[in-house]
Amino acid sequence: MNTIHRPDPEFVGNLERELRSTIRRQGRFDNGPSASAMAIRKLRWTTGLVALTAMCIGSAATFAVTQRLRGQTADLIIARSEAHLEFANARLELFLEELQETESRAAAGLIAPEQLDDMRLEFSHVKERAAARALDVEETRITGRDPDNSLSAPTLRGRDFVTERLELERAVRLERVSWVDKHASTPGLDLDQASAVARERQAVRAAVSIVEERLALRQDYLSGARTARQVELADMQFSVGSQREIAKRRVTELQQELDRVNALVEDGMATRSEARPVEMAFRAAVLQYDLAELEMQILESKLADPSGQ
Amino acid sequence: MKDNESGRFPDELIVVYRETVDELYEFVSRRSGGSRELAEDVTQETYLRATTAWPRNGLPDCPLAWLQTVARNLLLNHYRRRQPELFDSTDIDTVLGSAASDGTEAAALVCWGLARLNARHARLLEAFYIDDRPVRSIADDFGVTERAIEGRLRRARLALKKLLLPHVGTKGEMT
Repeated sequence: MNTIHRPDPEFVGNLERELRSTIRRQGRFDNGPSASAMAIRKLRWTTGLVALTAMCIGSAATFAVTQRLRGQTADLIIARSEAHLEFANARLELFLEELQETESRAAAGLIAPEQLDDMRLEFSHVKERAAARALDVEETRITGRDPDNSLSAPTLRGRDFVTERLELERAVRLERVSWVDKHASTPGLDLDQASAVARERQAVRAAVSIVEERLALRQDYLSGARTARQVELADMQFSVGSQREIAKRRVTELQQELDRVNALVEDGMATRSEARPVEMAFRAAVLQYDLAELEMQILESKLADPSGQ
Repeated sequence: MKDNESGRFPDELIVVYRETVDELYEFVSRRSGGSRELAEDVTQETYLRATTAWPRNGLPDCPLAWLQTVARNLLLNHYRRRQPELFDSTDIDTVLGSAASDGTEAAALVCWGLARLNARHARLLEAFYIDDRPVRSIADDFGVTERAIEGRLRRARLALKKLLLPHVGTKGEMT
């Protein structure tokens, strides 16, 4: 193509933004009423309009300004979302270069294969973030609003962004499970290391279960098996349940630690003030557990309420 | 027209935009007499019309052809409204040759003339002078022999010459 007939990239970019804004504005007025309903409405409007014209002038001006401001806000939200994506992609690019370098160093035997595994895991996280950001951009371009990640969020133009994001999250968490499993089978771990790996295994499997539970709830909502309220409450119940489990484990661990420190104090090998921090941490963990328990009871009573209030 | 699956429509439009913008811009630019401003205005207006028409009627089977038709009509309207500049040359063939080789003033004058010719002549001359296409390719499109195209080109050129003659001259002297 002759260069004088080539469009200026700035013009191409600006026009694409303008087209997106136009499509978005039009999208807000999609799915209009039927022709007969329109005719009746038109008649009513014509009659009412005469009386309301004077009153409406002020309101119309306000409405127009509000609409314009909303449009501007939407453009800004989209721009922010695109900036996040650009950042995530730049990070991904850097990581990819770093990963390739690490791979070649590992191949040359300059670093341990475990280091390469760590790098690959980290890379999968960064990749997931970039993919999630791309989904955010797509959703934001449709709605002009921040992404809605609640389980009862509507599907948008045939796309289910909530499920797509959860699938990405599940994939990356499953990779972490594989990584932990691989480390758990490393020979020569001492007792403390083995126990730390076991705890991590439990945590990462729990994390996968959370995502899978959320996916199932999302499907329940989309299939109409559960209402939006039921799904959101069940999601909160699951989240509070997980927090309660974590708090319970923490209480057990700190109880053991506290018993050990108290035994040292009784033997005169530690002072009471040295035991104080452990005591405080234990009390905080117990309170956290109690709080999670209360939250759970509130949610269960809400779920049991047939009025759905 | 393809089915309008409203769910995917905005993305499709942007995909089409990205796929076609370079080609459409070139198409418009070649007919804009070197005016980047005119080329950008017409390109922009064409896509804006697509955002109104396509959600209602569905995506055309050949979006680029649709866009080029709209752009061409917009350009014709533009040239019908304005008066051409006097082109500094001694003969009409120089104008046509110059238009074909991206001479901006000449291209503007030829476009002005094409907007006033009958559609068949205009399309033929556009293909030859503006899009720079060989006779064989034009003959294939029209489904006739190269010889027939040459004959039609000759007649179309004569018609255009008649239209442009008053606007070609040197320093005030008409030829």
